[in-house]
Amino acid sequence: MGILNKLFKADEESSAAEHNQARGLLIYNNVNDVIQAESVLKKSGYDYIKVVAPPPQYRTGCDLSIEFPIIEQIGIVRALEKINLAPVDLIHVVDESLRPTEICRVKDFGEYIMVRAANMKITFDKESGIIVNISGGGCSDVPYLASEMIGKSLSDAPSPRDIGYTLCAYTLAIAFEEARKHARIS
Amino acid sequence: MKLLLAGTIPRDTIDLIAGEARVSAGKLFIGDSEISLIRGTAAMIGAACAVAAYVGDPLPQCVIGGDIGKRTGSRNVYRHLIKNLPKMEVTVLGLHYIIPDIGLHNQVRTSIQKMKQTPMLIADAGFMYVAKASGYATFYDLFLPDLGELAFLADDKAMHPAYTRGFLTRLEDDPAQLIERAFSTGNAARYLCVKGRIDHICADGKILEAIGSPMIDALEPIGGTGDTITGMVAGLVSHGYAIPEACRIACSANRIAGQMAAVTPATQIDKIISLIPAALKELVHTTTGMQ
Repeated sequence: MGILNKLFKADEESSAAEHNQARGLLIYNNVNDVIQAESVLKKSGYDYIKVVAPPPQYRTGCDLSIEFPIIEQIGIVRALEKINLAPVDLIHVVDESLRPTEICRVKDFGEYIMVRAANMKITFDKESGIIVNISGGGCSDVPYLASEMIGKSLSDAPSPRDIGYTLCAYTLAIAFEEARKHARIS
Repeated sequence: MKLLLAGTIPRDTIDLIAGEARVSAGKLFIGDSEISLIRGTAAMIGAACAVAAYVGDPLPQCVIGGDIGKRTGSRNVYRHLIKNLPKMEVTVLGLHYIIPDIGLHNQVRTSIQKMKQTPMLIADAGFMYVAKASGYATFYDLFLPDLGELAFLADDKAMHPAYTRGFLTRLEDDPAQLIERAFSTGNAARYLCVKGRIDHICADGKILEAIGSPMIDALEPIGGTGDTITGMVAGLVSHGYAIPEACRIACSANRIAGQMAAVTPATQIDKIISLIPAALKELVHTTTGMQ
């Protein structure tokens, strides 16, 4: 319980980690990696991440981990991968039964196919594979992702995993990857 | 001030813009800044401007942060609202795309409580997510989810639509059950406007009206068609319409505008926004239209 209290403590500016907002832990094999990762993330603007002790059941050989809001997962992991500091594991700590959806629904509009994952939809031209629309979502990077992806083919468009920052981007990436499978079939 | 709209746009060269919005020659301006009329907050504002111009109301005031997902623009919007709302007179507050931050959201809520008169509170997109995740959904008057977001509201454990549990996602074909569940668990505003192939207008967890005409299937894939409904509703409520009536008009006008535009799944939202005045005019001439 003491560890959890430590995990849940947050100041006003680091409010993303307050209350019940979903959090994750970046797990590393050694403390130095954690410290380096913390430094890089804070310099990159993720000043609300925290170095914390992982819950005992998640200790995998390290005594420190980095707590972060899950909604920032894509951007944080990408920043770390760029400098070869990807964590050895990533744990979601609020409720282990909660995992990002991987369920996709596909709707045929004749010349077009729409793929939806949770709140995100991507639609492409069957013949050309060109992305013609992206809709849904509520995080700030969704309109940005749409402007970067629409008009490009599914094979050439950047993945939301590479240019997005939030859980909406993560969900769009799932729909995008499913759309690529359908583009190959059709 | 009657109507205030807040949210982010995908431009990382803008810190914060606050000012009156207007649409001119198919372009959106906030103060002196030109903003692309695309999906998201811009589409919401564009639709609200169209309503204001049609009914002869003052144009909406806006608070816009530039944010491509890096969070700074979202924080700027939260902070502007926290600082300025207590001294503002606003009758309708529309809150839209933003990166959810429960702590900052709760400070916005506190600022709203300090206002002389609590405005009508309309939340969609990221602001709706954080309103629900914070546990303060019932503080709001209206949420406007699509079916995927409705399942999220119905899931008392999910903090974001991405985490909606599968058994609720599978209930999307039965929105009445999801609506009742979202409301009974305190995770919905008093009114819901559930946007989909058939739009559902709800109060206190019950469906008041289902709108499916004209049926325009191609609206669903078009980014921004939910945002235009939100913008129209905000404008209509600001004009004096009750929320259910405003939702009915907005959902119908959106469909008519789509029909007029002969939309396909590849149509972009600016084309639909340009036809909102004509769609509202068309509604005047129908038995279910504007009075």
